[in-house]
Amino acid sequence: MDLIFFLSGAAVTAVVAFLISKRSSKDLSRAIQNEARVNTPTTEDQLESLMDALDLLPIGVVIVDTKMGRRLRNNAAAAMTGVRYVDILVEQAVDEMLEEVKITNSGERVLEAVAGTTRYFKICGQAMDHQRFIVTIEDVTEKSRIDTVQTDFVANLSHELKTPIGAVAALADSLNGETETEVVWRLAERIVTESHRMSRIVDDLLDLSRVEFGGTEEWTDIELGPVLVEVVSTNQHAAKRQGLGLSLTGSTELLVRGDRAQLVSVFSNLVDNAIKYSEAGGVVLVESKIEGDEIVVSVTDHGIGIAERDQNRIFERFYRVDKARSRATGGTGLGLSIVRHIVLEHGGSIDVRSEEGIGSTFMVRLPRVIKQPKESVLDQTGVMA
Amino acid sequence: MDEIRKNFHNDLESVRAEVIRLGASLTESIPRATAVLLSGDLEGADYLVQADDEFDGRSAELEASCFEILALQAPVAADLRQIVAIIKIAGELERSADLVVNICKAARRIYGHDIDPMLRGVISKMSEQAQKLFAATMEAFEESDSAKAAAIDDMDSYLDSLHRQFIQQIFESHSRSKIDLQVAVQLAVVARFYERIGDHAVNVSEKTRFIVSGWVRERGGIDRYKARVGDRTGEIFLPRTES
Repeated sequence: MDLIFFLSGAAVTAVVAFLISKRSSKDLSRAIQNEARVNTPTTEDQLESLMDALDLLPIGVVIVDTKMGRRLRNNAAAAMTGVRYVDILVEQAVDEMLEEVKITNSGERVLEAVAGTTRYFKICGQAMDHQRFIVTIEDVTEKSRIDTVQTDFVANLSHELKTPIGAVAALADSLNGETETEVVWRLAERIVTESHRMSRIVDDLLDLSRVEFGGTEEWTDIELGPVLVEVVSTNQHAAKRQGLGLSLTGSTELLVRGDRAQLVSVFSNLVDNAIKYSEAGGVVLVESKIEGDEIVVSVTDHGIGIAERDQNRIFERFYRVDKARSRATGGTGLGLSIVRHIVLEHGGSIDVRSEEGIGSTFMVRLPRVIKQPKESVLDQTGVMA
Repeated sequence: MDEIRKNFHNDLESVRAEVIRLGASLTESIPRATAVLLSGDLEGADYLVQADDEFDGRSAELEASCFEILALQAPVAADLRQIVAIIKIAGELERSADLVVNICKAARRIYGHDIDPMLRGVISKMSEQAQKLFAATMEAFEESDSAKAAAIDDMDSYLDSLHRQFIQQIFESHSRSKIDLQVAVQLAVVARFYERIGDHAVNVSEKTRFIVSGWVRERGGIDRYKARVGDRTGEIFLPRTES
């Protein structure tokens, strides 16, 4: 981000220098001009270096000089997105901005364009004088995404905590003055349930921050096979209750370095989700394999699937695809967020492939620990000799 | 004289540019309408319905500009084909934009009803394919690429097969009581909208082929009729082969 500001600053300086140099050259005497023509760069040369500099910018720059009938655009402005129809919409917005700054001197707008996912472009226009105008185009998709994530996080956290707190308050209120034992008993039980729910949310949040700030001191080499067996066998009962099959296939010798409890929680979360979002009669498959120096564990279900627009967001804290359904299944909205953090912390990555109505596959990639054969270790230390 | 031709070419270029811009905003509105439908976004639906008025206005202006060029500049040969084709393309784009609006209106009618995930999946695929078709069609127009334009018809067959698959899926979902009859009917109509958008893309691509080489699609019934009555009019746009 700093680099962008620096480069935009550099571009403005370059533009100003270019304009000043043009203006001052008018004041030079003919003799000096003649002499200078031999050594100093011509306006065309200057223009070329300016364009080379502008081409390096990650933001699009369009400069229009109506007097000269010239329109300059850097590479970024010529192809902002690589998607032709979106580029055309951006160009159109630039044209509109140019028309606007001719009247208002400066202007700013954000263009929203859907190309797979929604992209946002900030388009700023500024008049340099009555005949020259500059428009910049900046892809602010990532920035908007971060803004949305932050706003949503605060809103969702408040909501998630407020719901059980509100319930506890109302239940406690009803409890106050209630004399019938059975009702008291029922109300108290619900207060306990809601309190557990709150405590689960806070626990998950604490887990998350522990993963974020946790060290790697206590890490050991872990055989992933038994971890997966443990996860599958603890979830077998839940799967059966839902009328689902749950099976495990794959390679052995899956050695990774990390925190065992955290890795159990990663795969438990994924299997738990796969079961929750499947329908009776389906199968949840946990598969592990070795790909080069990575171990790939995939959890596949044939459930409801996740829409493309949600796929980028499901790893956010408290993001819910279907709010009603997720609450009914009792989740805290933090599961996948914790999973992602743990996997990243372990130097791995997580991907999701999903199609609505077909099912989802979550793929976790972790770096594989390759054990040195004992002989070579001994050779190196010279003990064998 | 030079100046007059320059104006003419500028006019021609600006109508071409407007076709490309209208095509881009149409292409972009397809996934937008799908998002409106799948997420029940009523605000988004209103926005797209209103945006269509501007689209209608722009395509009417485009046609008017073409008539003006025809009247004032009397273009011939390739230029004439270009203007005539653009007048027709303007209509195709306008109609396609109406279909996008129809998708939004259907979204309003089924608001509050759940859509079976299986159906959601196929809707997403149809939308993606319709969008791809229009993106490719407009690229072929922009690049005057008749080979690319000729490929659009094949791309449309996939959209047609998705349409058939979707209708089949609606019957299945309905028989499993996953969706009620009203939603089923609305969704069947929606599927038809995507399929029609694909057909309009094919029409636009045929006009691109006409601009580039004068190619005209076999007209089945009309040709048979003319052969019967020995009429030879309507062949002024020869040749019919790709150049």
